[in-house]
Amino acid sequence: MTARTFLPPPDGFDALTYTRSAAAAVGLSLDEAELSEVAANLGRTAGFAALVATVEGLSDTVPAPVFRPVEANSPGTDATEGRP
Amino acid sequence: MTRSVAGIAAAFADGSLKAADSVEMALENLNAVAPLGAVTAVHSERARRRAAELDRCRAAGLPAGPLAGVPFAVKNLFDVAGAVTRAGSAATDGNDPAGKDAFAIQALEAAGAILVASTNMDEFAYGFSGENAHDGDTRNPRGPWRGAGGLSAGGSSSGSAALVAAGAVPLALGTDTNGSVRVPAALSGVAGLKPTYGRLSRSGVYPFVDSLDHVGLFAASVQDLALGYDALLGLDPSDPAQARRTPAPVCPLAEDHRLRCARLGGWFSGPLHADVAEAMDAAAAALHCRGTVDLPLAEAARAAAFVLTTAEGGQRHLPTLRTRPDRYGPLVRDRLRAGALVPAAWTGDAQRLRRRLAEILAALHAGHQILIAPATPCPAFPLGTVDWDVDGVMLPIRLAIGMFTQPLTPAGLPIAVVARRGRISGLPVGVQIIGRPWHEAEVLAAARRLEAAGFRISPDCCEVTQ
Repeated sequence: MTARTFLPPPDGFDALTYTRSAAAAVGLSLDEAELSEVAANLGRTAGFAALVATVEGLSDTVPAPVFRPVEANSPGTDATEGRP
Repeated sequence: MTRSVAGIAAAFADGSLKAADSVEMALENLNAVAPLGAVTAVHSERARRRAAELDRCRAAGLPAGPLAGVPFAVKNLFDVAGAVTRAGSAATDGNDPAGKDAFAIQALEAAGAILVASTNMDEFAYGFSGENAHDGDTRNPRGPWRGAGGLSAGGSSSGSAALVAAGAVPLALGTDTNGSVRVPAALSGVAGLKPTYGRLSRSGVYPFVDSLDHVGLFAASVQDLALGYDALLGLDPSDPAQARRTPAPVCPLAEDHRLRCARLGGWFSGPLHADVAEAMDAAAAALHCRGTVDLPLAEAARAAAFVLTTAEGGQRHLPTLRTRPDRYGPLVRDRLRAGALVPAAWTGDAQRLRRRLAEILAALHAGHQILIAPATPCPAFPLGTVDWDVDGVMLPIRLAIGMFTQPLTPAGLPIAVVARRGRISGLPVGVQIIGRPWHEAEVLAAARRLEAAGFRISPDCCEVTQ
């Protein structure tokens, strides 16, 4: 298997525009130079996310974290992660 | 005399070593290896006070614990009472001092061990190289370390691994989110353990990625690793992420020759430096591996870990990124900013992939209790390196050095690393020993078999013996 360290972002993803808009939405102030650097990083993340999204049948899978209601502490089993 | 955990504890128990002398030797060692850049705080006053308590305890005939007199160090993201938890960053400078020790420190000290130092790390644990813009880089004691330059000790728990490799302390704590125990264990040539996700309490540990953070540890031998691990066990009601399972000590370590083992292929087959490839062959032979198995979705699992890491890390730091971005070093600031903007759809898919990965690995483990894989693609690289040639492939090494640890992290399995010197480079290379969830004893049994087959490198640098 060929090691792919970075993956290209999906076609049509405009990292700069998205970054500008999302940064404003969460109150992150970025000047133009910073915007470019952050967008480049987000573009890399988009590439990884796109690879994950290609995995078939993910929509039928329960996400890993399962909330546990708070209860009295007592030794026992826990099956929320992996397979004990 | 020996500088091992077991040796120091035995010497204290039989009266041939005072805790005070053990601490003084550790402090001398720390001073001797200062050029490594592995230490950010020495807790000499506290350590001497604790040693005096232990010596009084023994003089009075009272039990002092199985690790009595053993000095240890912690990555500087563990809370130490009275000190600001640095987490490798100037962004924490104005924070309040910790009100109490991290649970892991309390556990080790309850067993008689003595905290002597906090160690250098990648800023906020976001890196694999041990380079830090605020505290300087950690140098690998297996390479040249007294002059300019030097080799990466691996990260992010760089200082902890380097101190154990140098023989300055016999035991050190780290954390592992994408490989931050396993990578430095391999590059620095020590034994490392990342237990099952949820096994050890994370209370009092500066968080990075809640979904992936593990407390782990380093020692020079598997036996010492096991002794340290057992002391860290214990239920902590204040940690909601800890699994509510009865602690399962691993000592005395079993000599279990019935383990069924296999080697991971596919993603894990390359690129590999020849030293790593030889180490993998040797490990497979020593464990009588029954062939090679593929881990489907390994590359996607690595991608999922990358997405979760940047997103959760970015969210955690968003308040400070808004107000004091200048406090972050250049290697992490823009990655965290980008992470704070990741859409939920990406993290949702990553968490679903994580579940799938755990199921796939459970199926593989049904046939083989132990799987092995390289810890890194190559031995230590020079600090400051951006791109590095590994078997003819140019890799962005700060990220790629974790390419074999990162895909496994989301599954939360217990994984140990043991190392040996490469024939060509003369530098350490490591093998991951991947066990079933909650079966740390099997992982360490396999690690011990590899240790017997040459996967152990003695600490060096410190002339002081303990």
